[in-house]
Amino acid sequence: METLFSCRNCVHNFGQTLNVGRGDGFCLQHGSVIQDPDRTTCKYLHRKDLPLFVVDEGLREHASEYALTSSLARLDVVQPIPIVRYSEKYCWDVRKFDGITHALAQYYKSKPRWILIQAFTAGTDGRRLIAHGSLIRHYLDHCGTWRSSSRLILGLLEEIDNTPRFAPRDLLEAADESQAEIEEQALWDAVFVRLSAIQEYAHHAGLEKLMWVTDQLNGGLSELVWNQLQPELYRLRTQWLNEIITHAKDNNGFFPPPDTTPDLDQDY
Amino acid sequence: MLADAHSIVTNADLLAELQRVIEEEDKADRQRAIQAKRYAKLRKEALVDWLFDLQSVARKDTINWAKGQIQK
Repeated sequence: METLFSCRNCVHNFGQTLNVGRGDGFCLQHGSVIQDPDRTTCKYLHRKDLPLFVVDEGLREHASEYALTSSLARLDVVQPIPIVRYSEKYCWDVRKFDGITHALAQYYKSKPRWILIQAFTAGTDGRRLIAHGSLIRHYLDHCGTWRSSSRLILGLLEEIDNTPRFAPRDLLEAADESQAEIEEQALWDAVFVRLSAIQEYAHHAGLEKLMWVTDQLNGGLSELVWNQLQPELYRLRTQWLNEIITHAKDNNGFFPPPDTTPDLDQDY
Repeated sequence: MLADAHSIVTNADLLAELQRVIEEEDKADRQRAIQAKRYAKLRKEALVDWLFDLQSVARKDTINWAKGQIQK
């Protein structure tokens, strides 16, 4: 259970989950390579598997436990871990290059950053879907407002019913679980990252029904049956899109001209 | 072996309780229970229901005190 509080389950480490993404991770909060993501954490942990406002109490406790560490820390012994800067050259040199980690390490250099996030949309690649959902949540967290994120969440919602597919080399290996079981869990990792993104957006926007989208999904979600959940997502997608667009229009937040939106962080 | 009044909550009982929470409790509890059920099912988790007398323990020391007791 401890890994739930590791970097693997943190939105600031976009490309990994408890079941997905081998090798090193990358933390956008600290701008550091995460060399042992299962055993690393920090006080800024933002769980991937549940929306922030649902687990805020537990995360506050976690933050206080690691309060005296200033960057990444060892999960088990609460000791600081030095920052390791990303180097493309080094990754190729030691044959540890990973396309998604590399793309995300470039996030700092891309301006405005939402363009890189939008580039992650479209498709069914499970790891990219996880990275996309995590990026949106990181962005929302950073900006602290729904206004600059409505176009991002619309992009995510448009394909919320896509079935995530995983390349075998993206999945972790476990002695006591079959490849099929890990793939099944990876699918749910992707589903929850993305549903939580909608919920966190709704939390910022004050859209109560969307804050609790999980309640609208009947048995497909609580029974964890994707073939049942997918048609429900397809059915609700248009309704959710309409709610977000209507709310954004009513609040002058639907693709506003940049010069009239002082709270829109243009660089970010 | 468990001493005192501590008891084991079996995997089946844990799943049943989480299902009850999913059906009956408030929104946030329901959502947490869905995720908890997923992990409990996957790892065939069971729980130990620890019962301690905390009257003589300061609130801020509860976690560390309990940790010590459990690790005994």
